[in-house]
Amino acid sequence: MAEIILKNVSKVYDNSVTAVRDVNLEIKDHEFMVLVGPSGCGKSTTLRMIAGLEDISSGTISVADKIVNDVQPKDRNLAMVFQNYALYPHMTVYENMAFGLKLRHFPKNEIDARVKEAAATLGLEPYLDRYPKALSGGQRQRVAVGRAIVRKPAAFLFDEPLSNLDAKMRVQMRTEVSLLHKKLGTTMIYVTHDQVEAMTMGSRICVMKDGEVQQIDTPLAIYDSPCNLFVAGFIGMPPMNFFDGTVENKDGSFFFVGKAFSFPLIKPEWKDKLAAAVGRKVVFGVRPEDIGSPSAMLVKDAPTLSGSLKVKEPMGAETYLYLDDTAAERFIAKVDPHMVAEVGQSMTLPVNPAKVHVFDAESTNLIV
Amino acid sequence: MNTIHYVLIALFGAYFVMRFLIPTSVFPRKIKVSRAYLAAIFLILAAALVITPFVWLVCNVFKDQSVLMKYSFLPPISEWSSQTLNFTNFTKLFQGEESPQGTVYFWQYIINSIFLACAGTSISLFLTSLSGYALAKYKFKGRGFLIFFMAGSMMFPAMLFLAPLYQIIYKIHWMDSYLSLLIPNACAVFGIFLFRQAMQGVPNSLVEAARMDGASEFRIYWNVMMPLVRPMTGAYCLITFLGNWNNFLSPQLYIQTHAKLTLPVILNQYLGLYLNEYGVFLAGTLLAIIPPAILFFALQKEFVAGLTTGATKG
Repeated sequence: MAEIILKNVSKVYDNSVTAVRDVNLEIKDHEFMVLVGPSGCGKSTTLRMIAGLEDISSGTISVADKIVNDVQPKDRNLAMVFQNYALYPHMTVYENMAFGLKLRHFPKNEIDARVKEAAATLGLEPYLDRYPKALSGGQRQRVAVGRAIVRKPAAFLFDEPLSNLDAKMRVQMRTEVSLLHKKLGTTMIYVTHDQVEAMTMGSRICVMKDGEVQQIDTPLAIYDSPCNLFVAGFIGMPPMNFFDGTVENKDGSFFFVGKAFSFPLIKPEWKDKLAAAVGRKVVFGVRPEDIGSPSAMLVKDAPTLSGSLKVKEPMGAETYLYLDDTAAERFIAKVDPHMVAEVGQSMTLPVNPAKVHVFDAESTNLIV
Repeated sequence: MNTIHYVLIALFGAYFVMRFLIPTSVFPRKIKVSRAYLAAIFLILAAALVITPFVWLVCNVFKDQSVLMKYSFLPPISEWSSQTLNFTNFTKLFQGEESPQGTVYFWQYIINSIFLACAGTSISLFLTSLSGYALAKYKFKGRGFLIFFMAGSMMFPAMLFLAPLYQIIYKIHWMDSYLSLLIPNACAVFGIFLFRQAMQGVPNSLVEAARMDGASEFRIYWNVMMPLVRPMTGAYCLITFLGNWNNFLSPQLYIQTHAKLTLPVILNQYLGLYLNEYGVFLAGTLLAIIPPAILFFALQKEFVAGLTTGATKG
């Protein structure tokens, strides 16, 4: 068990490309921290620096209160699960899982006990004598996880471990990894570009972009209060709808005034921040599930958004409506699947006014 | 060219025209079948052509010196006797010959050759694969230049280095020592490139996984890399063994002690200005073929796989 702390960690490659810039991250003991972001955001590089597979250009990384900047990967007591499984093809499942223990000179009976225990946990017992080529993708990934857990490391590092699996297997393995975390209670750092994985698995999420940390918080806190436009757009599927406009004060009430509509910003605690933003260019954000959804319908005298329905995507449990407002700004509403809506029809949908966001257009930071 | 050559060329020409120049669709079914027979005949004849010298060799080693030049292959069965077919060539081969160091027996040269081929192959395999691993998986300053320099050195013919190499070996007192045969070829650039290419195909994540598992750098090379480039190792073993086994020039140049000579040098001495022991020479040649043949059959699977590594997806 270990706490992992990154202080001002940066990574600059020889060609002067900065992959990670000044990252500060505190991963608590037993925590499941998810690093999420688009390709090239530096999340894998950060993980690899923690693992010791990449040198650090500046800053410090400590594992269990010990600075490990110059410590070899094998001496950091961390285990890593790779995106492409990285199983040794010439070794059986048993040998793959036992390899790390053999190298650490564990007694044979201890190796055997640990491998069999891990195999039982992961449902790999019937496959111990097989070679990786005779396993399915999901089984291979389980072996990779098994190879990590037999060592009982201080922390697990997962580098996009599910991205090579098909959608169904991904959902299944997602649950298994979460259950494994609950069972072992070991610190886990999990890198993914899939925000659904991040939301569903992480105790906390660290959203990264262009090598910088954007926001670190619990999944719901990030979802409800994204700190900037990038986080708001990245977390959530379908993504948040954005509209350009300004904040205006009309007789003490604040409104977002866009190209096609104006929208009341009603929460009393927003007033001070909105007053400072009057006249500035802002971006108004509202999530699809807060437009025309059953919960939005329940809000009394809810303000509305109108648009012409362009595309309708029935998903089963809900339906996505793609609408264009009068200024041809496209927005998405996530509505009840039984709502009557025909393509081409003009629709007016209620919006939950407590769930909207306003971002500064220049700095992209959240105003309210 | 003799009659066999003309027949083979005619057959090959006919096969080539039918196989590649005439579209398959114009053939009626009968011609298609006959085309398959033609291909089989052609391949049988080609195989016969390849195996003929070997059969000729086997026949001639058992022929007595008196009938050696009289028949191409074996004498007619009516003439088979201990006078025409016997083991005299082998007896002569193994009877030993006088040298300043005393009597040297033929098996001594076989042992010398086997030792040099095995030692040379082992050393070369270890050093070239280790170098190939470093060039494939380590990033270090000057790597690009090093690769360029090594690739450039391959463009010069080996003969060009003969005089300087001789001088170096002479000056470091390696003349008449097996070091002069083993060390200069111990780390062949060709081998380094072969292993570099093969090891580049091994995903970096395997190396990193081993590193995380606690493997030292040498253990990664030995336990992870080498088993994964086994086909290349088999192929390289065979190529290097044959190179060392057939090496004529270096022992001829650097080895002076008779008891230290190798098979190619000693076999050559049976055909000289004052000695023309063709039968003995052929008997020695037959024996010299056996070790590489055994190695080839042992490594055949690896060797063929090695030559096709990377040729197809997966």
